[in-house]
Amino acid sequence: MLIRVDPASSIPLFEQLAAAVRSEVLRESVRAGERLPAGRDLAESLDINVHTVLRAYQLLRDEGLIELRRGRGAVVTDRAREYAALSALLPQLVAEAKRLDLSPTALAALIREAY
Amino acid sequence: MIPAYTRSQRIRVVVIAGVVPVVIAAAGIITMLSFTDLPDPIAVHWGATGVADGFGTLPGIAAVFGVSVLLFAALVTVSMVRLRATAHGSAQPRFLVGMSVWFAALLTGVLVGSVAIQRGLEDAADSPSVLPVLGVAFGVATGLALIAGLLAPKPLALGESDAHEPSLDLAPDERAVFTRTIPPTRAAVVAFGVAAVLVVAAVVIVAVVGRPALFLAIAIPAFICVLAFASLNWRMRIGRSGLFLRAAGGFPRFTVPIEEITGASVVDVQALAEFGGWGVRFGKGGRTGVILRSGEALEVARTSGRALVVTVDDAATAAALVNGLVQRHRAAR
Repeated sequence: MLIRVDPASSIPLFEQLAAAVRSEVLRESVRAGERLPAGRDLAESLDINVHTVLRAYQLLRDEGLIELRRGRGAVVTDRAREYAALSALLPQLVAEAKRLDLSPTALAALIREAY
Repeated sequence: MIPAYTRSQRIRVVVIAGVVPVVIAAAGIITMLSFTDLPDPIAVHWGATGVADGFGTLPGIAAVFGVSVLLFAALVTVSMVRLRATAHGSAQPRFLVGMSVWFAALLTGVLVGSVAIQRGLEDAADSPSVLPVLGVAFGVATGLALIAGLLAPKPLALGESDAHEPSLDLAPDERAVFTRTIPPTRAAVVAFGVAAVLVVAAVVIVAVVGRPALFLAIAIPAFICVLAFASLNWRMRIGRSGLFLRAAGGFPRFTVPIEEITGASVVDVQALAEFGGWGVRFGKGGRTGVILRSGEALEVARTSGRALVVTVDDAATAAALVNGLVQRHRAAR
């Protein structure tokens, strides 16, 4: 699982972190039942605050993508499998946006409005 | 995938690594079964001083021996037939072909020799020392294995590297980490389970028979079993400080600091041919391997000229991150 966060970006770190985990689930590099790195380890590796990591994990738990259990850490739930269909739609969406020269932000805005 | 052997070379490998050992073993078994003047039971184990101290029946010994030769020859033959060409030539395949013959010849020699010295005896306890038999069998087996290894065809070496070196563009402040668990293959779990059952069974038998000296003989495989279990499952982490690899048991572990890495690439590993097996292994050219299967692997080259090879899934992402981190680290200096 590859996680990248950039403190120089305007997007909050915990959102970047949650987005990174989500896209790794989409890419199937983490599968249902697998354990995410412990909050403390991840914070240390990324040189960010442990509370930022935990906040990202809580966000993912509220989404139902992971379960947080005492002593077992963060475990990816079965919901990860349901992301496969969504993942299949993305390349087409991105390709079409690129054809129209839309920026990722513009595409994101369109998606937000469609909700 | 380019096979390492041509059709005719493959036939030669099957004959040398598969047929020859089986023929040697079969000839040995037939010879033993033709002896009519043996004591019953026969001596099957000798103490360190050369005095017979363990006894068994001839068919039982012959069966265990035949099955082990057959299994080893089959393992070597199958992996040699499926061998793919690698970038660098390796002596491992020919060594393995030699080993297949060596194993069969040594076991046959020891077994037939140790049974033959008991011919005409009333009681197997009177049998002479087995040590000369061991020496002769070892010498003959080694000679035959050398011939087999030399007769075995050289596998095809591609010359140029098939490795590719992806790289990730990292922003100056960007933080990135790659984590991955490396689980054992199903075959490894089954093999470990069988080994564990055998060790436990052996302990129970020794406890029932009550010969304490044998405990030492079982302690060694049991210890190896525990070590193997500890390194069935691994965890890898790549971050700004470098690469960190650790077995689930906490040991063994490997750390490669970022300043000691020259680059990373994705390679195609063949466990038996390049590393002689599975687990923590040492290959040709200073390559240390954590080899849990054949196939896609991450190879990290070190400034010392050595390399660490890890059979991790998604090795392309791992290699890209290592290269990205290394480039940024160099640029920052």
